Amino acid sequence: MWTYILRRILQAIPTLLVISFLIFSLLYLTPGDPIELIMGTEDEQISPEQRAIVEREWGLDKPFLVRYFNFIFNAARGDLGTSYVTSKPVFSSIMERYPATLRLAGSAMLLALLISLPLGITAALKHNSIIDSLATALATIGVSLPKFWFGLVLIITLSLKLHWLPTTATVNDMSQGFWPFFKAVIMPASSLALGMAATQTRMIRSSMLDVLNQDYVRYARSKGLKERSVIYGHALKNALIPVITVIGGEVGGMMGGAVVTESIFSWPGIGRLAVNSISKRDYPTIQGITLVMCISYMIVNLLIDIIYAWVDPRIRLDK
Amino acid sequence: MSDNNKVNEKDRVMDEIGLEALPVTNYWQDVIRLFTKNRIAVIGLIMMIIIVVLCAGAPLFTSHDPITEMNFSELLFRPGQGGHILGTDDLGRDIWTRLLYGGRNSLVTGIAVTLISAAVGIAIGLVAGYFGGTVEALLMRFTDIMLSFPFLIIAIAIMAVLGPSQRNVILALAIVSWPRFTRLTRGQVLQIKQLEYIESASVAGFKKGRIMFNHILPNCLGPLIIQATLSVGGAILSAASLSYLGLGADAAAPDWGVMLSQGRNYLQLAPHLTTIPGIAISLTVLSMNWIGDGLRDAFDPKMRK
Repeated sequence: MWTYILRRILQAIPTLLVISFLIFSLLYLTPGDPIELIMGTEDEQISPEQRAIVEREWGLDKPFLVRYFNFIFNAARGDLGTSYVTSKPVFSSIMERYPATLRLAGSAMLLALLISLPLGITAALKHNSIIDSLATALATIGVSLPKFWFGLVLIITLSLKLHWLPTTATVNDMSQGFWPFFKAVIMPASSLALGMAATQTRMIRSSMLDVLNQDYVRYARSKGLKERSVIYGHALKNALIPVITVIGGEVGGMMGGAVVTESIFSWPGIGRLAVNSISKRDYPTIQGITLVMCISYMIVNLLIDIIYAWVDPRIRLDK
Repeated sequence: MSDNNKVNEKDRVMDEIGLEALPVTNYWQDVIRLFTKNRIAVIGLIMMIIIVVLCAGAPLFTSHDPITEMNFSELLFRPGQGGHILGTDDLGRDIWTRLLYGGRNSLVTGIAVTLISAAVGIAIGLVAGYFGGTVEALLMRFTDIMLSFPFLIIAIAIMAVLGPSQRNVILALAIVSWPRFTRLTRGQVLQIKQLEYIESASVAGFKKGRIMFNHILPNCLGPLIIQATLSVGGAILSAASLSYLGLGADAAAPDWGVMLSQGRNYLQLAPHLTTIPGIAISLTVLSMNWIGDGLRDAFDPKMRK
């Protein structure tokens, strides 16, 4: 098991290097003059002397590869550079906002599971019934709606028409207790959870259907076990294994979704920071956020692979 | 005469196999038959045809202009008010008109992204799967790395660099979408490569390119067509997200995502500015997904008899 984990971590390193190189060169190639952005003087003339001083100060006078390796070594020590706009370290402004994004994404994932687990299992158990077709239809509709539009529709109906919930998030943690947090998080989390709930419902349903047709389930039934213990004791555990991998892919979609959702609901996470940085062309911050999101995504998928290998010994023993 | 012969031949075969035998059909006829039997898939196809006809023939279905025709005495009309079927936007432009012209952009984006990423992805997948060895290892490692990006984040970063325009949206989304086609194609090629007819083709001395494109590719089309259908819908959704963030199509263009992003300032006053383009996106993507699901069932060998 430990060799498997070690091998997966080692495999992640070249991926990380390629990703960071692509992100770095993408922003290096960006048209526009960073000196003007740093000095905040787009209209005025900047003298060559001033330019040289700022370039040296920010390390912009060095060749591309040197700058890239500096970026990598600094990033490995938790230094993602300095924002052109606020002149604050990028890493600390990302870390300030990261917990809020995690709370939102975590709530969304919980919500998606709370919907998809019962719905998917019931649909499979009542195969070809009305509940089954309803769940399948809902799942297809769920992946077809634009997530952020669903969020806007929630604002229009629940906040503006019915006045049940605030339009923008005033709290983003449990500091004022559970209830205010719940009221603030339920709309953005629903909007973020929509696609994931839909994909998972489909996945749980088909995986459960597969398992129910297996010989060992038939055997458990023929032994005279109660239907309840056949389903929850034998079938469900195995049905959930393929579902775990889907969660990994969905986390990536969720990060993209978080950028849009956070800006709709004014949720103070890194997604909103990304949108603000893009409009201000604050490239070090954009670069830092992209890298942090890619790394988070890789860590989640690494954890999922490890869980997967842990619950299904065939995988770790295979290679 | 030849038609008669064919009919006779068919009758003879039917007599031999017996009456309970299914009519003799080839692969694609089978797929079409299974697809048309699927009610939801057919509804999706009809919806898609209607949407394409409405958008492609936009000038036939409206007398307004989507961009220049602003009327400041008719701001934010509700649907039906003043002869505007779906009302007007914050600059007094007819929403129905903008919806029709905007659909053109969304469909073009969805289809262009799919065509480009499919062409690139399939080519790489064919080469990797057919040649194997180091070529395959390198190409697939790169594909896996591209797949390990959260793709909308990368599209956002690319758009932040390239600047907003429809062409850049297509480019950015194509850059992040091709690896799925590569994975799928390679998997198919690895299976088909083992079959005897490929062996006999190489023994017969056919060139590698010919074997790849004429002999292998046609037999992995099924899953690729399904993936392409779903990819059109996915690209339309992603393009809408980018436009909503102000990173998509040009802000003046009639574009469903741009329309949504204009509507966000009028959620209280004129919610139809937001709901209408969202419904249009949802219906388009839904019909693509229904078609894709129908194709999946039609291509699935387990469903065949």
